Amino acid sequence: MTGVLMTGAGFWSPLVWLAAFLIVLAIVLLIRSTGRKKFRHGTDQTAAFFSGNEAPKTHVKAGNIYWGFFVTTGRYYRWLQRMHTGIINDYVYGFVLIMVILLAAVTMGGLL
Amino acid sequence: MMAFLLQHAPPLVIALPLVAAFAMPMVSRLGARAVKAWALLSLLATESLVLLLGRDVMSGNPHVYALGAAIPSLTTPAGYPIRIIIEVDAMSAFMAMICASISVLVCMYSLQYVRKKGGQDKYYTLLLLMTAGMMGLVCTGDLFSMFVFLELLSVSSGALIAFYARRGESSEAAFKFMVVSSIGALMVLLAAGIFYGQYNMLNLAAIGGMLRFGFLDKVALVLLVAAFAMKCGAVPMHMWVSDAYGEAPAPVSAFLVVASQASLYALFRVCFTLFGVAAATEIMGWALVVLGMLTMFIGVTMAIPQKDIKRLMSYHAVSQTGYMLLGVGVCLAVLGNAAALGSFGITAMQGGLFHVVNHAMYKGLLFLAAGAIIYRTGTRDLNKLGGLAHRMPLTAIFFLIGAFSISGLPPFNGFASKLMIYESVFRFNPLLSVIAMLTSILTLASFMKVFHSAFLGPELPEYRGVREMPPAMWISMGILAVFIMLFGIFPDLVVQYLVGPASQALLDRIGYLGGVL
Repeated sequence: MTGVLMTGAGFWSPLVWLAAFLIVLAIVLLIRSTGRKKFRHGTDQTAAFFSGNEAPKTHVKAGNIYWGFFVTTGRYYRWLQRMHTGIINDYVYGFVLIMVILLAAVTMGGLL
Repeated sequence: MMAFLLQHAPPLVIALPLVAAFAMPMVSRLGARAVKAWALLSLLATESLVLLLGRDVMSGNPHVYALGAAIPSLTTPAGYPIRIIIEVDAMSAFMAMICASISVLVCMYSLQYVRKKGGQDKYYTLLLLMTAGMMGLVCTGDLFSMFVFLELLSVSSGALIAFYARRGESSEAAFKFMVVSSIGALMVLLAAGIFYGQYNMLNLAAIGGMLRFGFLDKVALVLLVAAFAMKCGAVPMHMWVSDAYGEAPAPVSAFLVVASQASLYALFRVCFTLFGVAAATEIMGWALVVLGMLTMFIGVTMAIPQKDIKRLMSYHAVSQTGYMLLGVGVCLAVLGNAAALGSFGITAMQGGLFHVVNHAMYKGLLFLAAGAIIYRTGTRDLNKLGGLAHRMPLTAIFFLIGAFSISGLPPFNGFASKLMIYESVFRFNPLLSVIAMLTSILTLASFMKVFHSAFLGPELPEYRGVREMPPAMWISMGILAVFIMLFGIFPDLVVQYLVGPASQALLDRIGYLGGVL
């Protein structure tokens, strides 16, 4: 049947998913259409609700997003930063390291 | 005429962009428009030839072509293979189709993107040389030619990374790329020397047929795997990726993704075709799996804190390579176990290969979207961006399609290939599948940060005059977006007609060897 992908342990049918998505979308639009139509743009009626205060027109910058995540995982990120020095010698060390590990695994694997 | 073209298509798909590149200095005398037209037409002709060849190969007719022979199919005139032999099976055709298609879209996007910059003739010459290098790398059946095409690809890529030479960072990135590429290529040359010294042969099929898997063969295997793994950006050999992808012009970054995938192809070809079950497939399979896990997790966690939009995407390119290594690595690990191979190994490989084509599309689209942002705003710093969806809604939509796809959200193509990987890898080792899913969640988190930072929020005064990207740019992005959705909605057809034959060809070692011997 076209549109059904066998995934090894089950299957995936994007067409069925799309049909379900469209049905849910239709229901959402139906509910939305029952809402109040008479409102004025640019007034408090269309402003975001911010606990009764005026909503601030600021933008959270990329550097501030996921602040808590970076604080929690600080040790991991310090380790990652030490690894990424930007020095070309370290790039080559990584390559040599992998070659040595692979060579040891392949040659010793034959002996085991 | 068609039959003639089809017969000679294997060398032509390499020769056409190569000759077009060498003719570029003459064409450039006619002006900038002629340069652009020449590059686009040459790549379109290459794409047509690749599609013609691919259709034939995918229907079960692999092509073998001995260069310089009176009859192209005469591969062993003296009982053993001589001359350079090009062998295009379904796996090679699959990769060639990806390379050719992305090259056309990148060229189309570049028509507008590099309009204001000098040295356009050099830019398009290098783009054509990159295409020739990739085509050669994925089509050749000869280890020494593989080294030559790898070098051609590396040198042209390095020069394009340094295209904005006035930026010191670009030159530094190109220098690092060239050092890493040269070391990788040297290892490939050394491995070719080891084989030549032992077997007096350089043809992949001939070496594969005679392989004894002694100590020197094991050394050659390690040299090749390490070199190609570094060229495809596997952790901990990935650090050049963020420099190179981040500093290259955006369309070149999109093309570098495909260049890395050509190295990934070479890695798979070495493991499955050159060595096959005779080699330590379980150890090498596990090695690819471990490299894949490290690559996907470290790649995505390095991406999240980035503030440079292109550097962030570069780390995601590293992370996605991990999925491909994982899928194909699992298949390699169970290659000697027929029951496990049939039960989940082939599906894991198909998931990995499906992810190759998906990654080329969504990562290409994301790099091109980043290029559109840089083209219009002049900055790549996410901290300085914001509210661009007000002025660039089309770019925002294309970016969102690419972001959803790379994060593996249904019904986009990234979901289909990731689902195949999750389910098949789960039966190999559930923990690996869990980490892969966690990586997808982190990918989504990272792209939501980019989307929020660049496109959402109130309109910033400095970007009030920003306009939507020019037509040549959005058309090429639109084509990618449409294919991302089509591949997502009809994944079964992609697996049946493209990925399935490619995975079957990679597993059919006897068939590849028999094509030449």
